[in-house]
Amino acid sequence: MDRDTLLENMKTAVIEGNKQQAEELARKAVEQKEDLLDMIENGFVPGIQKVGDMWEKGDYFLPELIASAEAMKAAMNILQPEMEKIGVKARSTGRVVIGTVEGDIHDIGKSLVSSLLSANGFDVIDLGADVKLTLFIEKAEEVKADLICLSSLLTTTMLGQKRLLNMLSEKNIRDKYKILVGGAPVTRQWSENIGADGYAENAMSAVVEAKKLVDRKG
Amino acid sequence: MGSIPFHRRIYEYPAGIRKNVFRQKKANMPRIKVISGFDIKIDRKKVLYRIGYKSKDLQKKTPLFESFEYADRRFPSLIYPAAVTSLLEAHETNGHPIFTDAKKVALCVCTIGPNLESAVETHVKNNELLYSLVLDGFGSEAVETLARQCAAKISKEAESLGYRSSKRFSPGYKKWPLEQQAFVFEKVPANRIGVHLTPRFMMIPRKSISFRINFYDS
Repeated sequence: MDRDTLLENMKTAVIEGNKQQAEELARKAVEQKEDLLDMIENGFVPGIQKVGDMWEKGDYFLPELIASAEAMKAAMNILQPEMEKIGVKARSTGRVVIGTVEGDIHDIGKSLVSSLLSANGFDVIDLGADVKLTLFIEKAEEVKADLICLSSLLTTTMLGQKRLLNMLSEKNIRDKYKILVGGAPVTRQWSENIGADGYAENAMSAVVEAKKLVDRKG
Repeated sequence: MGSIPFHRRIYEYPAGIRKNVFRQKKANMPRIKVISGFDIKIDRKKVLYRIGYKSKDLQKKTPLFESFEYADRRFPSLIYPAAVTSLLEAHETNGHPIFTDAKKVALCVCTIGPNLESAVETHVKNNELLYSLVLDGFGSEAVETLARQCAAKISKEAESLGYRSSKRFSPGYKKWPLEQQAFVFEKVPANRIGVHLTPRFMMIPRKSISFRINFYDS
């Protein structure tokens, strides 16, 4: 398969959320000894970008975004180890520490955001659900994160988002990280009141907002 | 019950509820009642809407369609719908304004049990997010359907007692704060159906709904 066909098929596989096809094309690229970074940046990435555009236009909804993210991830799982072997690293959009705050065991919404961020080129460190606030900070410091994403699904646990911001200020490290908050009871008003840098209403807007925040961080 | 591991409790109790046990006193409507025998049918369109697929029909031969087929197959064996209700006299409420003018108040906790969400968690861990999203959507729709059926039964009984019933309201909605879950769980023996409350007022299993219905003079 020539390069252009390969790239076009990769894009289509991601747009259609065809995990199997994405994996096969990634294997094909490895077999053909293609430039794998070129395959990612000009094949799979345009696919996921197109999916984002389709979501913005209202042509795609969350399930399609997830299917596409899964296809992208499946391909990356094949390509990344091969790239590591030759010392090449895919370009990262930013490094994110994400989790659902302590006292809250809702996991799925946060996992969807995590997966979409990953598919859109972020290095994602997913701490899971019911995460101690101190762990968010420890991990962000350890991995030199750009962004901390905090999910809360309860009015009682969203207070944890505020506490984390206070803890960062007390440690004089507030400016090191951009803070993005989300979850069912969370509103833009709330995010502004607690001094967060961004608010995401849904999984894909979290990706859009995360990109903006990382760009702003520079 | 205390010595039975939590994940098994739901299995332990159907034999008891079939006999409609646990009545505190004989009356037209028992003060506390465990209900089972629900028939939960899932409307795919409602699940589609719930997972954010607002205006499109389910297209065949897509990853989403496959996920629906999968969820349809698995879902019936994963749910154990049950409910427990408690009927309070007006003076037995905690005086919160939402009970004003109510002659009686029915409190209800219902659940589909823990197994569906365990299956969802497994899919999340395996990075099968589309399966987890759709199966979780089936679970949410199932517990909503269950709550609707419980509310209908309660309203019917209110009518049979000569009262007019309100709509159902859950803690955390309108003017009834989430912290009022503590009052609901004080009055409703939800452990009878394997539901308990976390210190942050979250119900475990998560696919559970608690609500009140006020009875007024006709």
